[in-house]
Amino acid sequence: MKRLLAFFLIITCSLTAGCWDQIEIIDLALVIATAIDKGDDPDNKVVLTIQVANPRMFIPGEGGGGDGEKAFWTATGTGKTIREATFGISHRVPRSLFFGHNRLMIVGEEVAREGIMPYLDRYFRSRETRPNLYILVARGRGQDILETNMATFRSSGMALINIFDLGNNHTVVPVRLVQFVYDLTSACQAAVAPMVQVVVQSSVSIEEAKHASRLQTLSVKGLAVFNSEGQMVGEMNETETAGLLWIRNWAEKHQLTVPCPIESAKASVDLDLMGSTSKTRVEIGEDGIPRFDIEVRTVFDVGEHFGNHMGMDQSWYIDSLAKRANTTIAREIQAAVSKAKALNADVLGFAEEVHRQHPREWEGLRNNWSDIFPLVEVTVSSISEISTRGMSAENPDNSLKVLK
Amino acid sequence: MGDGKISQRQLAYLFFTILIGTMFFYNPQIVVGTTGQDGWIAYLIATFWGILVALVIVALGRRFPDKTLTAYIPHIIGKPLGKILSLLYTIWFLFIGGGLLAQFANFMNTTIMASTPKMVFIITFVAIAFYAVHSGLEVVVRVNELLLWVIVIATIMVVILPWELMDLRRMLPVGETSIGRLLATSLIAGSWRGEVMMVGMFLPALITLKNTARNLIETVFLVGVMLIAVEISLVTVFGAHLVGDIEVPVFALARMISTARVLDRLEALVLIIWVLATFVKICAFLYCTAQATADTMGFQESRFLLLPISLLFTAIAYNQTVDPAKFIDFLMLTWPGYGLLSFQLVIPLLLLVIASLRGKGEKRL
Repeated sequence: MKRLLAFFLIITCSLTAGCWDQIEIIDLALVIATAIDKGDDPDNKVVLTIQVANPRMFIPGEGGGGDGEKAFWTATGTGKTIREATFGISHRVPRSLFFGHNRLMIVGEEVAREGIMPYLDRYFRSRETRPNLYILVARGRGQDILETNMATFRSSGMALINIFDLGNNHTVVPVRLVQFVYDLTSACQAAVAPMVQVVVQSSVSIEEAKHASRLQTLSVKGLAVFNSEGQMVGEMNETETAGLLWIRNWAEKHQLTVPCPIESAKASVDLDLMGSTSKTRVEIGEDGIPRFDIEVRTVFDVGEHFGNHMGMDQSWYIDSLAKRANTTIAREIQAAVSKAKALNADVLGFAEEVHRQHPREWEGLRNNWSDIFPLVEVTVSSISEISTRGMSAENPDNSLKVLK
Repeated sequence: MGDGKISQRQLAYLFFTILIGTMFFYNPQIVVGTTGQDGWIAYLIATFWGILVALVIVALGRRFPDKTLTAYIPHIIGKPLGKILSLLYTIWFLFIGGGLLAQFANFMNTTIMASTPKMVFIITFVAIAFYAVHSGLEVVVRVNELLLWVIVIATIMVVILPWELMDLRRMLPVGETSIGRLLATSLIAGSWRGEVMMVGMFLPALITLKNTARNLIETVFLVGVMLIAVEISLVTVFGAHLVGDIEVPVFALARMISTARVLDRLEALVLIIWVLATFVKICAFLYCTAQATADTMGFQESRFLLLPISLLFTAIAYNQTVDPAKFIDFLMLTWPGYGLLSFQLVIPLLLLVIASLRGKGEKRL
């Protein structure tokens, strides 16, 4: 009996070839980025563009692009749903589309302005796509973003993914789909997503300049603001984005340029952020309208002193820089607040803070938050500290100037 | 099954796997969906229910140290009624076990193996479980001593690794949900924890009954701690209002793991937990069903019942395909009725009261 069983097991194991749903990697079309747009055809409104990595190009010693095969290519399909558009594409692609490596969702501006909600379902329902992919809004059409031939990178999708993988870098704010949907469905009912646009590549080699089509690149700049209906209602510029980063405690790699305390008009000092924390305290006023006190604590390093005089050795000068940093941070925060109020989109996470800190009062505010939010008052207290001044104490050409 | 005895530690390990194994797959979706970020309070109350069940069942077991639950029921409430109740328990084991198998096949279809026929999962699992239980209970508990650590380590990894996406402030505010809703939800969550009731079928196989209650309480409590950790991880990563909308949220949690760009795409962890725990649970349910059938029918030996019962498991699992909305409805509305409110807590509690009033069984505590 045992011998029979052992024999049976060995035979079974040796005859089994592999998994049930197995597909060779060569037969896969690895989708790394998707873009959704709105089409002109009223029956097929969803236009899906995918950017596909050619797996053959990543196998050493094979392919290598010799026979004109590209490492990345894009394809577009239309349909009533994203899924239908996907099948539309697969009619023309000789490989099985695989969305497991899709890390980017680009939303065309038209779709964003009309309302993004119906487009989100597929990204959560799919077995392959992961909801931690990055979402961003294209200025113009998303298709154009993916079809951009970049001079600096093999694939526009990979380039954007690489930018976002660096984290919160100055005012580039990577937003993952889960974060986006969390914000949109939380008490705040508003969310932001970074915006991307096609711009002209500024520096190219002479050879590249001959091909006009290669003179393009992508630029991630500003934030698109979505309201409770999932419609894009406006944009935040870089100052406002910086303010949002301070309020939401998202600032990581950041930089401030403040006027020099001595020659404020002519010279500037650059401060690099070493670390920051921010807290939002909520007090409910007697009129029932919440007041927010935002406390930002930051530590800076002097990155550059763009001037020709001394000062860095003076403690008052360093103090003054810290004060100027405080002023700048407060200004950025107030800019973000007034923009959010103007758009009536609580992208600053204020509603969540009221909900967390005053759950009882929140019950009364919950239903008319959109009426109350534009009325809230915000005070900022920023405490900056300058801990280091980089690798040099003073400007090199300051020998003749003596400071009193 | 067999004459071998199992130790206290093996019993505690077995029930750790049984309790933790499957409950955090569909459970958080329901608990967080109804109580939001206060889900951990519901789990805390559910732990209390679990401890109560463990105390009741061990107190009953102490009165009849050499008998299983289905064997001593007729001694407490008389033969005709007792046999009927024993039969109902047998059917309970059969259907919950079969349902578990169906749920497993459904999970595999939902998550990664979308086009593999359900029968493949069902038959494989019944076959392995049959083989294990047929070899004796000691074999199952020994295998489990190995598997438990894999399950625990995988669970801890799933809970901790998405730390980059966690925002602990999403746990606030605390205590927003009304007490009534928390209690109702704790009955749902507690009906999974109440499966500790199955220990009534295992007590006679123990070498000694000393410390059983304490060990089981510790097990139920530790399972509660792990579940709360899972709940906190889910809420801090997704936010309370999103968890209820995700199918199998723990799997989604594992999909979010991308730590330091090295540890990436670790869904396999969840599958490890699910596959191993389902295996142990099916073994336990198979054992309980066979034992209960033998007790009810008055057979001395139960091993020969394993084959027909395995076939019944297969048939029930295969025919229990329901649409997903109905399935969640069952877990929310019907399962507590089958679980804590009847077979797990209320009936054993009544049995204990009747036994102590009529002075049945040994009176040592």
